[in-house]
Amino acid sequence: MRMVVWEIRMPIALMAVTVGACLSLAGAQMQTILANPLASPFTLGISAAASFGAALAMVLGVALVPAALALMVPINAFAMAMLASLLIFGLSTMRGVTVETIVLLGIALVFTVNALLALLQYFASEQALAAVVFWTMGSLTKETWTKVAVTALILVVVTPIFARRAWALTAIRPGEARAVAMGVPVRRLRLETLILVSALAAVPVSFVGTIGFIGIVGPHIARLLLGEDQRFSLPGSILSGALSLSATSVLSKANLPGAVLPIGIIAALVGVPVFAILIFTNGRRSW
Amino acid sequence: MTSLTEPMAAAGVPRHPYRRLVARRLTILAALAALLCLSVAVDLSLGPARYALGDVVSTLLQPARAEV
Repeated sequence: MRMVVWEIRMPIALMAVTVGACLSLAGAQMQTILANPLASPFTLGISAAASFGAALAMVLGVALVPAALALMVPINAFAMAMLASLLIFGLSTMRGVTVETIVLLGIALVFTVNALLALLQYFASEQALAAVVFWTMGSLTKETWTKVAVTALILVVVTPIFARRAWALTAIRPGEARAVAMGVPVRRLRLETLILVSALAAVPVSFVGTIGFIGIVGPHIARLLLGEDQRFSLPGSILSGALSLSATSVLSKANLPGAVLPIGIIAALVGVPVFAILIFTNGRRSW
Repeated sequence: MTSLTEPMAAAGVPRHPYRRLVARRLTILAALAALLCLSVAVDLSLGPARYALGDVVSTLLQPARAEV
């Protein structure tokens, strides 16, 4: 029992916690800096780009970093996710680009990358196609202590940076003009946050595949319960995201005895109604 | 002599609304953390072989005493 609990199940359970925390925190800060309740690693194309990178490795055997062939899939996924983030980041630094433009560019990126992914799937062998489809569903079944440590490290490094900027990130929420009036360097804060959020989203996605809903639902649950103050909503987002994905992991195992359903599917199937109930029963505006 | 908080209390305003708000939010965070711990324990108990929650908790707290 000790072996099963500590060596086999613990990395999976902790991976659910750390991935949920990372995606929720990334979603929370994306929503804050882009002033959009729909912003998340999933809706801005970071997850889709990671899927495309993984598919490149699985279908064509292309390694974006040739030195690490054994870790071709996660490294390709990470590289493409970071590339997508840097693209959004680069475009956001251009003159005249507004927050709305960044969100629209992210959505355009989602459609472009999904089209490329579909093209790869069209030409893929049956075996590669099955692997790509399984990867895009999101799964925690192949997690190791190393992956847990890398994901946790990103969270541990990024969280204190956001915590130090809690005041500025709270000040940006009522509007850019007010934040500027309060002395917040909005443009610099937005760019720095975008870089940190990119790393926060790219690492977990490269390990577990596409898990779409946590990046949206986690921050909204935190806001409903704790309000807009980042001193509370920041740990709240981390905890609600971790709890959401951990509960999803439980449900993915509890449905069929002996079988584990892909966690990405369960996250969407369960998350959407839970989220709707929360919004309709709370009676408060979450955004 | 009248204290400064008396008129506020008479008007129905809580004496320490900010402190109460902070306490409420900290309680919510603690509840979320407790729920997360419970969820992880349940997650560990589920799989091809299902364990009792008590056995999982004792394995976590006293790994040396648990069966290999």
